[in-house]
Amino acid sequence: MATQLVEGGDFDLLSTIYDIIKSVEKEQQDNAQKQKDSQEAGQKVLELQRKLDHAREVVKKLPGIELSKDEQLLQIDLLRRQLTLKRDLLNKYRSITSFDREAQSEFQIHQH
Amino acid sequence: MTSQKSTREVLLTCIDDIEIIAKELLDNLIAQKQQKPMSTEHSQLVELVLQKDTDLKATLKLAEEQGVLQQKVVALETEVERHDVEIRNLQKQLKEAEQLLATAIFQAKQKLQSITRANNRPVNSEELIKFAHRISASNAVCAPLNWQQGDLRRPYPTDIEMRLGFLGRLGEMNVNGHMSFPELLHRPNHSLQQGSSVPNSQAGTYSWLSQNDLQMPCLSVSHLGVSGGMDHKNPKKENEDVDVMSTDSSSSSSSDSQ
Repeated sequence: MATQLVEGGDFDLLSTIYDIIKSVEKEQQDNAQKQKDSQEAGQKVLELQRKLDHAREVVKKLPGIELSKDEQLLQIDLLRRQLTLKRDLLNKYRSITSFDREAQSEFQIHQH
Repeated sequence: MTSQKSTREVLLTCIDDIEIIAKELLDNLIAQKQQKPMSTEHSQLVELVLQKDTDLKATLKLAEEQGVLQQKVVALETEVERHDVEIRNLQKQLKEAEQLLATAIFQAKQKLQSITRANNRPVNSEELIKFAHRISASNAVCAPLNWQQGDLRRPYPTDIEMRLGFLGRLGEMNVNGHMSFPELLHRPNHSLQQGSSVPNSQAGTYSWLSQNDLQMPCLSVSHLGVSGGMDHKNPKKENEDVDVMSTDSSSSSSSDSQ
């Protein structure tokens, strides 16, 4: 599900940085072209900022990354054990049918 | 055990680092244009930004895997919650059953105790019925079926009946001097028989003493025969008591009749 939330260009920051560097490194003799280049560079910087903010928003919405992977696996293990215990508990009490003394003693032996 | 950084924190840190490095890189570029170029620092910054980008991509892949695991976590949590609900229901039912059983056992124990008591002291049913009849015959337990408001009959002896009784006639005995006890006994027989034969004529009278009951005081009177002389000394006091009692009863009966 994380891939559906993340689009291809969400984290593509390098290309924007490269574009900015290219714009800044252009050496033009013409003043008008220089001005145009600087405007272009400025726009690309703004675009980079926007991309960074968008990337942060996407990261905040991604599910399941509140914990590290190890902690998450531990959580899954704990939940599975809890589920097994509760299932066994329910089956144990559902299977008790009679109240005679023999059944009660067997039940107590089984418990120990 | 130190808590590990969450994947979200790692990703956000990566993005912040890339932003800082990119700004540093651009500042460096602008400075390079104006001043002496510092290519070593520039190349280091470029390497650093590339490394951070690689880290970002790897962490994103980890986040994708964790997203898949999170679905399992959600499913497990739902299942655990369902089991919790069932356990709570079962607990409630067991608690109710325990209460019912405890009540039933308690009542059964009480019944067993009363059975044991009854077996230890058996009573003849004929005697029980006789006593029940004796208690209820005087209409002290329940009013007679034809009793209406304004009826002067009462479930207790009224003053007239008390005067006709043994205590009331103790005063007569004192007035008349010596009177034998058998004569005293015959008098109530005579007067009460008249009273019981015509119940409607004498209002406010119940048959407080039956024929059988009159024979019983014979035994008690024989005991009193020894102390009969002592009664002569305090007849006035008993008369006074009777008067006081009659006053009380008259006041109560008058209040009842209202």
